[in-house]
Amino acid sequence: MQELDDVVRHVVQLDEEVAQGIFEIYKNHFIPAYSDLVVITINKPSVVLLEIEATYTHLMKCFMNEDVDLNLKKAKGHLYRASVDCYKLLWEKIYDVVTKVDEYRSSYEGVESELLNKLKEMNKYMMDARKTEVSEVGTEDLEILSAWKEALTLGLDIFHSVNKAEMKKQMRKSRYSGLFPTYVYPMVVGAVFFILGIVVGKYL
Amino acid sequence: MSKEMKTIIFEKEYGVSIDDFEDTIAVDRFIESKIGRQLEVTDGRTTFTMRGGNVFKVTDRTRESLDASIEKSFAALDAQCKRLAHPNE
Repeated sequence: MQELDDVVRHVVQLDEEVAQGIFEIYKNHFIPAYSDLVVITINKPSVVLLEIEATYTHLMKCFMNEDVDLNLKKAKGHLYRASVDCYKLLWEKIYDVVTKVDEYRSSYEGVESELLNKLKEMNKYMMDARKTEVSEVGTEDLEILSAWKEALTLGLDIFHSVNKAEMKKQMRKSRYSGLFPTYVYPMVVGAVFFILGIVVGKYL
Repeated sequence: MSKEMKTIIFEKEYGVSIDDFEDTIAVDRFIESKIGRQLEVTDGRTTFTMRGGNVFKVTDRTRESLDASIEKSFAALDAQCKRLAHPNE
């Protein structure tokens, strides 16, 4: 078991730049992204908690004097991914409404002429973020976080301009109206021919 | 001139500054005080809670499944942009 003095001495010797980087991500990116997510989900998503757990584990390894630089870098990576996950989960929560606005247009209470531009801009930000993420595996590019933030600012603007009750009503209506040509009409026609068949068979 | 906000919705919704929140526990407590109940751990997709010996495993939701869902959403968003840009096609 290490003496407390050794631990304290070691922590003081942490790579200041890397330690500063972790704090920067935590305070300026992770906490804001997490707070935005919780406002929308009103719960704590497990994916984010698992990343926090991993961050904590690597930080504790630093205290145990296990390859401090490597563990600090890994902790930073987990915290970064937790921040990106917060934005992805937020998007996942609202995308069902945002991507159906054109189908249920009357539920949209925003300025219609601006809708396409907002969607296009949002799409561009998201594609840029995804491209960077996929092409540079393990990246900690802060531009990805900014792109998600910009995209979600637009996304939430659209989301809040949709009358959800009206959208639900229209969805239900279109679901039932689809039932008639697909199921009800063929059943009625079938029943009429069936009865006609019986009648014709009986009297002819 | 107003200071640029670090959050998209949190500060606007509650009229606070995120700089006053030290950690996630402070954020959780604040939201819990607003909604009048404790926050629960979910997998993000369903309302099934995972606290207190629930049968659903915490690992049910992975980054891979989240990324798959995000890819699906990008396709839906792209399709909507195309529909709106070329309504007659």
